[in-house]
Amino acid sequence: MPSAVPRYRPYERRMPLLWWLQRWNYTWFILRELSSAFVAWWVVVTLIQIASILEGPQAYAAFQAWMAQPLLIIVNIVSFIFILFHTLSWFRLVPQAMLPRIGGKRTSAVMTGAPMYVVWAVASVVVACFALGVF
Amino acid sequence: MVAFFFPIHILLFGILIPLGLIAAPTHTGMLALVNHPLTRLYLFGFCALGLLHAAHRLRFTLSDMLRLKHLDTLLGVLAYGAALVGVAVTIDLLI
Amino acid sequence: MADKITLEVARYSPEQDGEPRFDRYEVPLIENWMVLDALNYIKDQLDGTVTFRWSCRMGICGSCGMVVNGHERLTCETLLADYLPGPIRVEPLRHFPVMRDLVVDLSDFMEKLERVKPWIIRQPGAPEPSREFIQTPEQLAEYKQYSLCINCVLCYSACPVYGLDPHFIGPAASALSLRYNLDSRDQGAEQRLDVMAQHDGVWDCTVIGECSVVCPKHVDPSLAIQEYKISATKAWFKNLLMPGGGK
Repeated sequence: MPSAVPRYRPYERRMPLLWWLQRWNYTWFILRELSSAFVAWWVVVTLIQIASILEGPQAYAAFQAWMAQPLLIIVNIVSFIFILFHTLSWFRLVPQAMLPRIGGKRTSAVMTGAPMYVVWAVASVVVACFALGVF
Repeated sequence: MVAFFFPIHILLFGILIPLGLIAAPTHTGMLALVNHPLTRLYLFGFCALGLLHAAHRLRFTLSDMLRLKHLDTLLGVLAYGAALVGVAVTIDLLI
Repeated sequence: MADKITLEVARYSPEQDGEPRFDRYEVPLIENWMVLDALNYIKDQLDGTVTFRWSCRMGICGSCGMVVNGHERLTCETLLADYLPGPIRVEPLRHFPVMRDLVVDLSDFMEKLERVKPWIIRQPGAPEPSREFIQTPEQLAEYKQYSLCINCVLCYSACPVYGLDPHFIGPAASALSLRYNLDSRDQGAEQRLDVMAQHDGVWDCTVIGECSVVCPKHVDPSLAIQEYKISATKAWFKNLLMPGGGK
């Protein structure tokens, strides 16, 4: 099949550099993806945390003091908000990306979404218990 | 994986404990926890998967935001390279 | 209600203009008139040089897709009165080269559509059927949603991934590709997978979802793409564990 051959040069538009500011849906998408930066930040914090625990009580205390600084608290609160956004947007996306179906029968999006929140709650409680020495 | 485990870590270790709203775990307690092989496995997964996940998403996001499709390979190398460095550090710490 | 409304129509004349511009036209605001009616009024009464595509004027042919005040719409389904007091900015679909005024060159989409083989594929050498293929309502329900695509390509205009990289196979082609995979009469899923499982097939999609938001027929191409990713992954593992065997 011959492709259309215009007799004159068609006008090719380039996407504007700030295309992702043009629509709220695009901006939301970029924010959702950028929340991964806070995941990376938190891995760094965790590595420092592990290192300081393994080094000894003084290093651990220094780490605690570092984390208690106002700047760190603010950064971590922002991180928490973005990670919540990361998690909640993921939970919202998964049912939208699957045909709601259990055992071959169609169900609603709620059924595919609800288990994730349950797992999240259980995982959080388990981690908290281990960290706070309940076990 | 990231979605399930990262929020509680940040809430506990980033906000509640530093602010003193929850009693900080003792060093001996944390040391015992970290020394346990299962914890080490969990922490390895936590860090390594987190880094790779972040690298993967950020690589494409930066490429999209700044229209760097032609630098795709370079961004990939930088992103996954950084992630692998992090994974190496993780292994070094935990083993 | 006001009796007039202004349209700002994108104009581009390849013989004369270096760049597109906007021309303003005042049209009567008649109750129940769509943007398409206004464009036809402009062409009939005000400026015969305005060029645009349209056909059925009832939302089924997919010809009249344009960007109205920054959003992809079928102009035959877009009420003028919704945009009071105006003006209404009418632009050609994005991410395609503009041929003239509001008309874009869709050959890239046509090429992609053909590439996914959107027709029933039967295995060669199978005996001729003795009667028509029977399909139950449940079997129809499996793919019906994706069959509603009218190829209006509003989804390609809305998709930033396609805008940034035209190699991406895109929403409508993916939805139509899946429509045939899910059709009980079809046996061509493997052939289509070769096209779709490439890195500029479904894997380019970063799940922005704007394609499904703008689709006037509620096809949900984003869902089609995510479903495809899942089946492509399954097929990859199957190939890994049973190379050459298993169906």
